[in-house]
Amino acid sequence: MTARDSSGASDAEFDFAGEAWLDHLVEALEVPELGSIGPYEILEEVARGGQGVVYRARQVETRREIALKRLVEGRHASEAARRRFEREIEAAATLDHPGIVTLFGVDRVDGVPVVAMQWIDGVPIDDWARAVPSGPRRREERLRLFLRVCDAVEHAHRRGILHLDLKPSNVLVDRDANPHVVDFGLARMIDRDLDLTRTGTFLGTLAYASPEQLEGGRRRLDARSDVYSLGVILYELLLGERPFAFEDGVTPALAAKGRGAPRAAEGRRLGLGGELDAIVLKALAPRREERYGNVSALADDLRRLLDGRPVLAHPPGIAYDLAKLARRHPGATALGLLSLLLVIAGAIQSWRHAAELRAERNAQAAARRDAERAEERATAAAETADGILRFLLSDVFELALPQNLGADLTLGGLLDVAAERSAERFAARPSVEARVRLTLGEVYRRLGRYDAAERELLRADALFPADPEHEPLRGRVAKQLGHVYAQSGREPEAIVRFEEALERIGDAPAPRADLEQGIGMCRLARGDVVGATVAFERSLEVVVAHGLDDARRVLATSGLGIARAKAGDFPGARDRYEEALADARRAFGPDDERVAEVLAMLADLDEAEGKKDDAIRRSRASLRIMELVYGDGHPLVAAALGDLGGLLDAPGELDEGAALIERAIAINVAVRGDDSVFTAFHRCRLGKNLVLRRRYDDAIPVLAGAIARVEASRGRLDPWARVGRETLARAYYHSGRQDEAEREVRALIEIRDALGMPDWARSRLDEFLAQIELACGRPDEAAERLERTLTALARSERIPRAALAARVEAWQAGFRLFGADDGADRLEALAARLGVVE
Amino acid sequence: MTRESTQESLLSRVRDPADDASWREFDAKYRDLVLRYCRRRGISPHDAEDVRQLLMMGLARSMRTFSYRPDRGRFRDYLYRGVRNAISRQLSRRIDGAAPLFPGEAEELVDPRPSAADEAWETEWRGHHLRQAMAKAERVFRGRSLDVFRRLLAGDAAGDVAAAFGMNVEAVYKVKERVRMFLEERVLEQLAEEEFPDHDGP
Repeated sequence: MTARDSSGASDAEFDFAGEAWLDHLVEALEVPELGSIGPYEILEEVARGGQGVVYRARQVETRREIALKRLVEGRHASEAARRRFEREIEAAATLDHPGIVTLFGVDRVDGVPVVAMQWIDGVPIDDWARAVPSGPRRREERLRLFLRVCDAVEHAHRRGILHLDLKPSNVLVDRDANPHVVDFGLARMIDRDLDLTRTGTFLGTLAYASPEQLEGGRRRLDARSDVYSLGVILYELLLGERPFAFEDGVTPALAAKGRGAPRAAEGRRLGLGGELDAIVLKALAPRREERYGNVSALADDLRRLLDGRPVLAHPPGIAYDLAKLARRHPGATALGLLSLLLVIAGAIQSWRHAAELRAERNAQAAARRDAERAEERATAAAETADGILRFLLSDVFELALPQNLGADLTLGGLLDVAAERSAERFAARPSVEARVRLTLGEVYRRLGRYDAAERELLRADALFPADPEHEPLRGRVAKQLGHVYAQSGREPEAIVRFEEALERIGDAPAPRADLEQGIGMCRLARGDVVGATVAFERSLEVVVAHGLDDARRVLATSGLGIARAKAGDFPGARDRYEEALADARRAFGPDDERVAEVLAMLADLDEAEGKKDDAIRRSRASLRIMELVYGDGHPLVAAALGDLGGLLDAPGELDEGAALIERAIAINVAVRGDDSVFTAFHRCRLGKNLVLRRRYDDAIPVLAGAIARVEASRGRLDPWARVGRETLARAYYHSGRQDEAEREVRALIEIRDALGMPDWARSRLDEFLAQIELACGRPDEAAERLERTLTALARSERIPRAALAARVEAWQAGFRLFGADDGADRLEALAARLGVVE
Repeated sequence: MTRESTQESLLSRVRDPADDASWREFDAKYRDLVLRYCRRRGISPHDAEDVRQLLMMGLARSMRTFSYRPDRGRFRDYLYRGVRNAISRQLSRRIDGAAPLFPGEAEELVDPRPSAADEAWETEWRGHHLRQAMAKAERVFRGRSLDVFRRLLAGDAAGDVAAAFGMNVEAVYKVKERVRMFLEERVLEQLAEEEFPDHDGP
């Protein structure tokens, strides 16, 4: 059924068959005459912002061409908006600079203020930078013009006026290459009238606004916000694109902006040359304390560069980078640093313990022998810890970093150096090397580098001596390996390792809870809902009995929620999730990864219950937190990207959805490999997105490959494989490959029968198959199939008669469409016999 | 995640007045239609802007309590009624906002369609959809195809366009046909979204 048939409209005007549509299109694209506003003849609308509409207009009396700005809300404007507008006029009237657009005067038309300004016949500065036939303008020319913009903004700042909405469309370059800053649209006086921006509404443009403007709180804005916006413009002038890719989705761009990580950035380099890189990055620093203090400082540095003098913005040192790193990867780095701290703390504790024991030995000679033995152990521990500590501090940090890694420090690079060097350093002490490798494995795993984590952990496993003393450590290795396997989609291996760890670790409650939890998640992934529930309940039992921390309670509770959801008990699942979410927020605050995890589960449930808006909202919230915590490139971020990308399947959202899914795939390929089952999951999603965009030929190979991979690892009954296969069947059907569509649908019906679904839930595939049979010219088979389907459906009490009658009607329409009236009649007769229709 | 789901269109999202982004999107989508219709009726841009503002406020108010339902009339007629009411209120300078611009839940839509005399609305509504579809075409078709089509739009004969671009006439017609099919599909999609805000995806 097409939209045209069903709207009931006589849409003769959309008759695309003849030639009239072309005339209609021409008419639709014509710019109509606009009339007048007061004494101004309106020529065209040139811009529209949150606050005002700007027209190109002509002053009737003088025939002078002007720009006319009218408050967008007109007579409906609130008192606050009128005040803000009037303030703008007041502010702009005090400015007199060749780089700032001149204000002619204020008029009132029907009580609505309109402002007449100098009309600049020019182009936005970004277009200017590009618009030379011989290629982009010379860099020096671009920088010199940018300096004149800085001078204009600085002029306003000196008079106490901020712009706060600087962007290329507000910096026009005329034919003589003179820049004009227009629209001090959000300007406010620096030292008074703070209330105006306290409305919490932010009117500027996301891409150019400073992070503190985006926060929208009550922080007082100052010249450094304009420095930031100028930094964005400078970046764009030099590199030809914006630093943050808002076109690929607002959330990731905001996260990148918050981290100060523009897309061209590799470490602290933009590829413009060291000093210019430093200047741009200093202007773009997310924290304003790290930015230029004012516009003239930025301009001065650029002038120094153009004059060949050393600039003040230096590439920052290691200490700065470490601090930066900690901000960029709060979760991962914190853990890496924490591992180090634990080693250090352990060492200090051991030394102290040894000292205490010495004191004790002197006091209690009777217990000397016991004490001596304890001291030996403590000293040995201290030596181990000291060795690891010295290794990390001297070999890794001090030796490796400055020379080899320079400013491009990453925790991953740090670990690689540590992994490489630990063998030679600890050659004589295998159990120490094993400890180092265990730590490295843990940190690699947290960074999402599962291959490296597995390598280090297997080495650690081989290095630890098989004696009772090392049993708990070997348990830790097994547990870490279990997590690595679980996160790589290798659940059976993970379960084996978790069970091994349970045996080795003994009675320690916290690890027990974690291991049961891990086993539960693996069983869930393999579809073993009952086994998973048992494991989660055991985990929760340990948590409650020993009063363990909130993190473990949240995990166990949400695990039980997932098990309920998988068993079809949605209300039960929701209760568990809500409980887990409340616990997580209370215990860890709103931006914690555990909050993000539970939000993702709730989003999944929302989607299953048809609450799409809620699902998207929660999924976005979850992604935002994950990006905040892990930064780019982490598989947990990939999971959140894919979840949201899969949800964005409405017509207007598909491009954003595809972009998110493709990012998820790229991360998975990089982290888990092209062949990983997780990569295949996301490819199933991409296939569906492509089908929805009607790119069937692109969808088919993606889906076929992904399904093969999922089935190889999870079997044919896996939901990803089933949904992927159904999408594939639709892709075949729509590209006219009916034989292949039929083969896939028949396979699905086989799988469905193996799963044993109730009658009422099975009809969709039968309908699809009948549709294919019809399309292949086998109306009798289709009719027979639908007769069986109808008989089964009519028996079910879950389907309202009216809905069933509507379906029969749709089937009949389908048969008639293919000229198979017999089939339509057969179905009608059967429906009447079954009492479905009158 | 593993199931087919219902998508919600712009129309159903704007029912939540708190959804600011959707409102802005809605305003951006229908603004031109409203402003152009006003101009066609000889209303100054000054008044037209206020009509648009009034209409958006009325929509925000009525959609809070009233779900637009396809079975009770077409969206374009619903919108038309709002625009017409906003214009008469704007021109009579009554902006007290006491009476709703849009019918409430209880009120029946008795023949809400524009009178035959008001073809201006139908023309603008058609223009609105064609402009939207063309904007999409401009994002999809690139380079020469778009240039060729623009020349055709400007009224150039196919033969002249072919000569100008060094192609044969056949290829020019092919471009035109591809754009035509693209526009038709987009218009059908837009109509479906407009009238069936909660329809199922393909």
